[in-house]
Amino acid sequence: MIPNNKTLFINFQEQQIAVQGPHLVVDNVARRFQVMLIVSPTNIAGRLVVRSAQKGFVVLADWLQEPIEAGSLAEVCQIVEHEIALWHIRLQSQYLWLHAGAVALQNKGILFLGEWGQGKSSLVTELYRQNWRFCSDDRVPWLAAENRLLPFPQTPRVRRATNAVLPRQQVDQLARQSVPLNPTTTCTESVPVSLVIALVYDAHCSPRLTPLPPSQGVLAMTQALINRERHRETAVSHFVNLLTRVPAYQLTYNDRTEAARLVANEVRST
Amino acid sequence: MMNAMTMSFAQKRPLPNPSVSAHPLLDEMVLELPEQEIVLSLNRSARAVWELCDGMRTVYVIAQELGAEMGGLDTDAFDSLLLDVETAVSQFQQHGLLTLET
Repeated sequence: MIPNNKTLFINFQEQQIAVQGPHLVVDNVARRFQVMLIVSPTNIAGRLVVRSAQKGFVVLADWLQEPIEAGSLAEVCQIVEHEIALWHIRLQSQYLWLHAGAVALQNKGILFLGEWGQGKSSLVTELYRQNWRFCSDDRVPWLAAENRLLPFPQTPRVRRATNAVLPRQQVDQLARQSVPLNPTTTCTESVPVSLVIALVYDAHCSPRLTPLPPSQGVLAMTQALINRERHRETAVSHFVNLLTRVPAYQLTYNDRTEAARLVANEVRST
Repeated sequence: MMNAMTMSFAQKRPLPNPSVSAHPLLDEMVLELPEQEIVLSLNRSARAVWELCDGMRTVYVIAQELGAEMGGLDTDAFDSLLLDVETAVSQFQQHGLLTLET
């Protein structure tokens, strides 16, 4: 009998989450955490199990009080990915986790802030294609006291480019394509944040990079903070401290290639 | 010239909420009310207004002091400044950052 289950270990900061389930599910999850996988776990800090069920799948985890049901493969993969990221965030709660993208060039970390649909993944992967080191396209852990951002390199998925302004529902339906990461060009160590860029996608506006008042940058970082409950008392002070020393820009754009060029020019001149 | 309604607001004394944390940031400022998860960014002008809100000065006096820092203003310019100060104070109040004392 061929075993139906497979296990993988997703590593962040020497702590691993074990994921076990049907091959189809685990292989999909593996692709999303491709460069965060390790073969031999040293410190398993959580276990998540996916089981096939009559109407789809059931997700169980150490940290879940109730199982989560999912009707389709896509849905269960999305739930598993979300739960893994959330559990890592809880395990490493000393970091301020930002809903952001990040890349590094030499020893400069660039943080891209933007609400859903502003193109964080697109811009980060565009820069990655231009030989910047990939850190993250969605969640960035930041060690405020030392101003170091850490890579959390889930495999990015970008939407097919469109020049139309679409409602969220239609944007959701755009096909997304994974951009496989090369471990040798993915950032593996922490880097200081050297530039903060707030993204605004505007289909009718050619790319422009304009200075963002630092206090607006603080607002953008505050809005991007995922684990705000944990850092409620200190987060704003940390953001203020950062933006006293680090420039912030707003990047309004409709073309990611041109936008990436603007960012590259700015970073190289800084 | 100011009407009666404006005059009444101008006589209020903005008193900062003691729970507000004020973070100077270059020439701007970030105000925070952690328990309400309110964070507000102030540009240089709004910061100047905030820093004069002490529960002692009236809105009118705040506008007078800011006008004096600008080298003195004619009536129209002062009325315009007073309106800006009132707008800023009103927004601070709406966010719970201060109360208006009589």
